[in-house]
Amino acid sequence: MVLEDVQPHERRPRRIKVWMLGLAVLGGLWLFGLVSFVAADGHFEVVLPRTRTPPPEFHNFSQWDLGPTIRASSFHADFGYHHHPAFLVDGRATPDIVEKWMSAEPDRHPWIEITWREKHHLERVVIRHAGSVESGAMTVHDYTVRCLTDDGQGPSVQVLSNEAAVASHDLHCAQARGIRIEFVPNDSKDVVRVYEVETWGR
Amino acid sequence: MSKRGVNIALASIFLIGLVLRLLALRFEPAHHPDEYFQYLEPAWGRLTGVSIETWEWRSGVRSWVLPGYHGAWMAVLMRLGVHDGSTIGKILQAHWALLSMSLVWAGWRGGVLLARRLAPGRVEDGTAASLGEGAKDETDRTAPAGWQGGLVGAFLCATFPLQVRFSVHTLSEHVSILCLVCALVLTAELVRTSGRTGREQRKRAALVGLLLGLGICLRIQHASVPLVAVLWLLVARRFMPALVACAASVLPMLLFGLVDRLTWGSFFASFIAYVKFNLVEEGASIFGIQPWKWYWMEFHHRLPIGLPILGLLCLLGIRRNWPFVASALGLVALLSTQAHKEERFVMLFWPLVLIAAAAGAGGWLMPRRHRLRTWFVRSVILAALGIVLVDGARHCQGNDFTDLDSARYEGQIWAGTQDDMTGLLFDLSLYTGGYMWFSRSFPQLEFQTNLLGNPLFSHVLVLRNSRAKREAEAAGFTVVFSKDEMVVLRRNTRTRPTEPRDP
Repeated sequence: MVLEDVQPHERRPRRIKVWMLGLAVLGGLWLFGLVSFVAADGHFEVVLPRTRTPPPEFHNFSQWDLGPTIRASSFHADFGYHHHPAFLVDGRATPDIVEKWMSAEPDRHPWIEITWREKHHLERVVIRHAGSVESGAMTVHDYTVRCLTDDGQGPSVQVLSNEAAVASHDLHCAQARGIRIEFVPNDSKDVVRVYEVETWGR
Repeated sequence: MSKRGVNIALASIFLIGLVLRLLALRFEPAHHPDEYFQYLEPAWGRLTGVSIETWEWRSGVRSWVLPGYHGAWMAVLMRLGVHDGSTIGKILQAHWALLSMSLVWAGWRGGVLLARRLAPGRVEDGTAASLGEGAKDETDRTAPAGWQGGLVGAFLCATFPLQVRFSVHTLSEHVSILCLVCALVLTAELVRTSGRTGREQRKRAALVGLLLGLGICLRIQHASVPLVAVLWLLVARRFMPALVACAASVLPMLLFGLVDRLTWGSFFASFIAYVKFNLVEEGASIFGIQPWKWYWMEFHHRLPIGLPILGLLCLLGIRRNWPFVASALGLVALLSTQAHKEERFVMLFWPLVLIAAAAGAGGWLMPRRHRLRTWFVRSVILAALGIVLVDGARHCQGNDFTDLDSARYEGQIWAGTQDDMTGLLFDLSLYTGGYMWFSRSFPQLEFQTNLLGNPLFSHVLVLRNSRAKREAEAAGFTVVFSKDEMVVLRRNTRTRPTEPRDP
């Protein structure tokens, strides 16, 4: 196929060949892809499969086998020190130091979100910080726990100067869909380390 | 031979090259972990939020240009509904294999140009009329002068086994090779100026400059080619093309600098960090130190009989192919000064030497006065080239990383497709395809016995006869997939550990 575009002042007509057209299409596609790539925010999300029916009584509805969805602003993903956000809900009572969520170093506004398959009446949030397994100095001091509902954000708890290795926060929230925790790293170069997040209620 | 006959032969060579690359795509194992973790995994991580981050990416010694290029294609494929990382990876490998066909063009064009200048009875003014037998204008029905060298160059570049193997790998060396070899061939065209106007020359010189700049930005260790290319233009008194090429080569450098500014915070940040770590501080020595002659030992290992033949053919045409030979030797000399050596670093040596040898062979394949002598020389040259290819095929297997087992990748891909997958433990994390090949967001960690107690880990990928396999079986895992020496074990759902807690 040859498309001809005749220019009045030129001796030879300018020809657009098929391969040129093909290259232009590929180039356009690639540029579109580049914009999508640059625009991607790269946040993490995993949906765990449900392998257990939730009990009617008071329970932790973020437990991994109830099929929660976990989102995180980032995670430290080295070969050996791979601190995946799913470890936040693995329910391990005596975890290894690798079995924790750790934010990536460049992430200055780390956050995590845990959402559930059904609405729940949230009563308490328990956070097992770095100090529950490692040095207490690694425990993050400042953070905000927010309840997520269908209407957006519900009640929240702001925590300042936390020193507890296992912090329990009362957070009453009806029709809760999940929680979001926004952390402030202890200093400008520090990361956030959390072993477990439990959300208790019915 | 008529022009039509040469065209048919050239088309057949392209077809053979394409088929061989398809075979490489199907059977070639991974060459180096970097082809995933440096150039694909970062792009995958940006698009999906999950990736393995190597120390190079934490330290900022890598540019985002090549991952960005891959990432753009990944984004397009994801929009088209392809979300499986291993499929996207294969498509990207196929794309590089297709682009590597540009080396066949380079072999043809370089062979023609250099062999033409080696034609018997040629006068030095470079015009078509002064060339040897068969050297008529290319628009004529007769084949272009030097076609013998062109066909040999195209055939060697299309079929040389090591080059075919390397063509499917997503490594910066490969991309740089494509740019630099094509640039050097285009430089040969600039040196032969007959029939070109000044404007056409400047356009071509600008293209040469862009390719040289891109090649050197992708792989600073390939610096010998740009240096020789500019030197060649100066020696041939092509001052304006040399100036245009140098000016154009700055553009890719500026692009890399700008991308560093946007991603790492300052201009040329990754380039400076890379040069400092690899070339100044020799930081790569921690990955192994080899003797200075290691590359020559490697060449000899790959081509024990063929290497002297290639060397002899290069010498036969040294009058005209010296820029290719000098680039190849310069590359080896530069790389030999570095303590840490890997075969992929020196892969540029092969296409340069193949084209140089093709020119030497092409010059001798041209008709001579005595018919008997012509056919005798042709037989010897063709037999020698046959030996090079057979020798190359016999010794092309294996690479620097003996633990790179394609069965491990297949096991990882298989595990990623399982509905009950929630986490994977494997024996060697460096020799897997990261999160891209896994295509799931669940945790993947190197095997530790205590991690078997974590209920998230539903599958284990280890060697068939390993302690890890026995420990996994003892913890309630059973084999559900096996390929060669690798097995995947799945946790029996009844043995999932639960550790209830009080609030």
